[in-house]
Amino acid sequence: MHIPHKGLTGFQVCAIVTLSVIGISVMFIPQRATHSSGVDGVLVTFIAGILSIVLAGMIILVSNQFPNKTIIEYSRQILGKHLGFMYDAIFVVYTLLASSYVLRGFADVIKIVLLPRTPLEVIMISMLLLILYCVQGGIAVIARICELFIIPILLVIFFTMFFNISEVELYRYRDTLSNGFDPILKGVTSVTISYLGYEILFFLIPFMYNKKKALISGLAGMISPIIVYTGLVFLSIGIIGALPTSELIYPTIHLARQIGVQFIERFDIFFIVFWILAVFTNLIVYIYMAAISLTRILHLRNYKPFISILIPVCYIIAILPQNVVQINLLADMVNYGGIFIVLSSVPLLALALLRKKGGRGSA
Amino acid sequence: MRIIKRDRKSKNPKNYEIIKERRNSHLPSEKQVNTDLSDKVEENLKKFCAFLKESSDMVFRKFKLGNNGIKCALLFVDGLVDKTVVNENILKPLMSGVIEFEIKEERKVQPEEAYEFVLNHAVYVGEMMEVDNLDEAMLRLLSGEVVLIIDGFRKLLVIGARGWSMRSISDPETEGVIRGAKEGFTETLRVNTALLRRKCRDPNMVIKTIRLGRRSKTDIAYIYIKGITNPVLLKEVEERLQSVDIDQIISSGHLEQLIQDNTMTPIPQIQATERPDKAISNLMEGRIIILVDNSPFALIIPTTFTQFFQSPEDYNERWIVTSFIRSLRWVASFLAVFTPAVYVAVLTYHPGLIPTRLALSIAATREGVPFPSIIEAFLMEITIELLRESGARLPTSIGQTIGIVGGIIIGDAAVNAGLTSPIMVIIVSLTAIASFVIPTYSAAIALRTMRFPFMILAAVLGLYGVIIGFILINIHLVSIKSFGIDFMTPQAPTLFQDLKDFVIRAPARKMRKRPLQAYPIDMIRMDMD
Repeated sequence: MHIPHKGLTGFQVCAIVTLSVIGISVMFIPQRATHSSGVDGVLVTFIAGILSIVLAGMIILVSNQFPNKTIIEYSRQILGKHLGFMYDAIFVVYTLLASSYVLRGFADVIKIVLLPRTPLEVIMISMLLLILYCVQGGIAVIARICELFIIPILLVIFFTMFFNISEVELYRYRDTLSNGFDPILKGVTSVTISYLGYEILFFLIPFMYNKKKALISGLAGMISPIIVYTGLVFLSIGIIGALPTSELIYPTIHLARQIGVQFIERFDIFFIVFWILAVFTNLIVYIYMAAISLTRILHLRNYKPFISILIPVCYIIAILPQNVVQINLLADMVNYGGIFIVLSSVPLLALALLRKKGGRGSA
Repeated sequence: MRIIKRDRKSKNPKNYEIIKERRNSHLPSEKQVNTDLSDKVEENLKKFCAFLKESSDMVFRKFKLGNNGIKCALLFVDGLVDKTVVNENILKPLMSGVIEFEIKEERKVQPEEAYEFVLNHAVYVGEMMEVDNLDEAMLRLLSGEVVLIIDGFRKLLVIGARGWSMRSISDPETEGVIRGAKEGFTETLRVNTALLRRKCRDPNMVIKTIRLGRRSKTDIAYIYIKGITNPVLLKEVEERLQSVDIDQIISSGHLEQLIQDNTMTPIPQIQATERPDKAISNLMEGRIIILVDNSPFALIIPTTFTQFFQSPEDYNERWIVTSFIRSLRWVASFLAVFTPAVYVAVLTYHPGLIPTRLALSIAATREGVPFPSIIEAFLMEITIELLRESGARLPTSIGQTIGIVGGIIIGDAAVNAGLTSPIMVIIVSLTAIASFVIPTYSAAIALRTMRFPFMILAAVLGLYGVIIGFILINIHLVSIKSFGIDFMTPQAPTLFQDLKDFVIRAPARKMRKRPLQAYPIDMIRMDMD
């Protein structure tokens, strides 16, 4: 008999991964892709996606070596006590910074598009209270929220993309690869950052019901972000042009605004409303990661009290940056941290296999 | 195999053993009397009289059996027994039949054999049992059975002759269907169980009865199908029923609140139905039905959110039509909750969202309205709730008048008086109509209640507030459980197999397996090859 109650199902893992990847980056991806590599952005996005899938696979492979442990526990087993502790500390700091960054970026978009006269504090605090309530329910509630929201979110994004296709002007792509492969190499790093979010896979495996499905569902969760991102970059270049795209802050909103549905004058507001759901899932995943890694570092079981501690910290970090320069500083920290953590899966896997500390049997 | 996680926290924390003990203990009034039975008719009668002599509906009939003059007494409650049965099938054979027998056989019935004789030859009633305990006899007497006391024996005969005037089986008013059975449950438990038996002759259908209520001693029947219902679920239901310790069970709605998982929510976690066909098809999906005596509503356990959008009608019509109607209901549920909130949000914060011409015409109609749109919306929504509530409690004829007065006069007059805009009237009527599309009353009323907090959120934070409320409700819905089953199955956690009976109802031939929601132990519903 099929018993989905005992843990996360494959579809839930897939939904969590998809939504934590799409989350906030869906707003910036065309800008990032075109900023560093211009017209080649489409190719770059696709290649970065493939790279991310590989990295996600690495993370799952490492975690599969220790099927009942999260990264916090097995990193010490692989790296030793002190190095492991440092690694875990980086993890906590990164997740906290990432959630603050997402929160700030989200609040900025809401302020610009939806509520120009509402203070940032109100937007952030209302969102954080909601997150506090949700994360209290644990990974089960997070997973169910994700699988509930993934369909409408993807539908709206695909709807936006579909109604823009007719506007694409193919001549805008004619410069593709005209500068050789240099811009591609340059762009891949910065676009790979946009795919961040699949670090959650470090934590999901121990909660899964059928651990054999981990690899396939984790990778399946990466497929729709690749389609969405590549599609959005393709459309932005085709409709807006590579150079203008790289100068817009939120090119995706611009795309959504293009759509003239008869009964909704400004489709971008409609799009933002659904995007809030995506950011919310993104945020609960990050806050949950921060809370659970902090708890596990301290060798405690109950992570719920930590959420109430982490949420004010997250708020303070998010509200601190005064201008775009400072926000970009925060973004850089998050990006380097994320890249470090995602790339660390490769040496971790190598070390785990070399030191033979893992192995399905012993863990 | 613990499939269903038992939520210890949500249950009544009392110790079951203590509760059981207390339930069996006597009420204060019973303690003054020694409840052991004696072998004298008078003494036994006195014991019954100690409790019942002040009540005017009690009948104590003393008579003598046969030519030996064995003293007997017949006790029953006037109004709860079938008088014809008592007179023709009990009293007549006992009084004259015995004497005829003695004349024919040419011997007298001796006092020692009186009991056996009565049991075997003298009562023409199918249902009969012996009781050697005063409490049990008292309870049966008060539930409408006839008690026969025979001199010289320490036991009583309890004869089933229940018969009282009851409402006949009628059309279920709260869940009407066009093409389907037109019978609904009534107030009598036996009639209700019979309605279920008539629809399913499976010997595995078990109807178990327990009594709840320390004073009311209400019969509660829980029904399941052995071999389909999950034993873990059954155990959970039994434990929860036994943990109820209260003096009276008013109705099934009352019992529902005593055994449900979460109290702090407007959303019902147990579905009530008036329809035997709905009850039986839920039994076949591995759920458990609870019937409460004196209540025409059966409880379906466990319930998931999708069930509120299902009607027995759905299975009588073709699947394409049904799927269309199902999706209509889901749309209606969103309309019922969100329309006024979105209207307020759009008008207050994002007028750019609506097409310019519509925005202009809305602005033109709102020209004379002195209130901000949130006040306007609140006024109208409260008015329509008042109309609904007043109509619901009134006789049908006056109820219609209320509809006309409310719908036409208030709506039209309010617009003419400049209190509200015509668009607002449309919005409010749309909300009301949409909320009535949802087949389950208790779910519809829960959704209707929710739109007020949504309107406040919309007034404060615009569409952002509405979406915050939407997320909040979703978190709440995925967190709550019904008897250990996640309330939002099959959406979250997604059970792909159960999506066949979700928004789209698959063709009947495609639904070969039972839905997984209640974790039935036998999955196969139909073999096709």
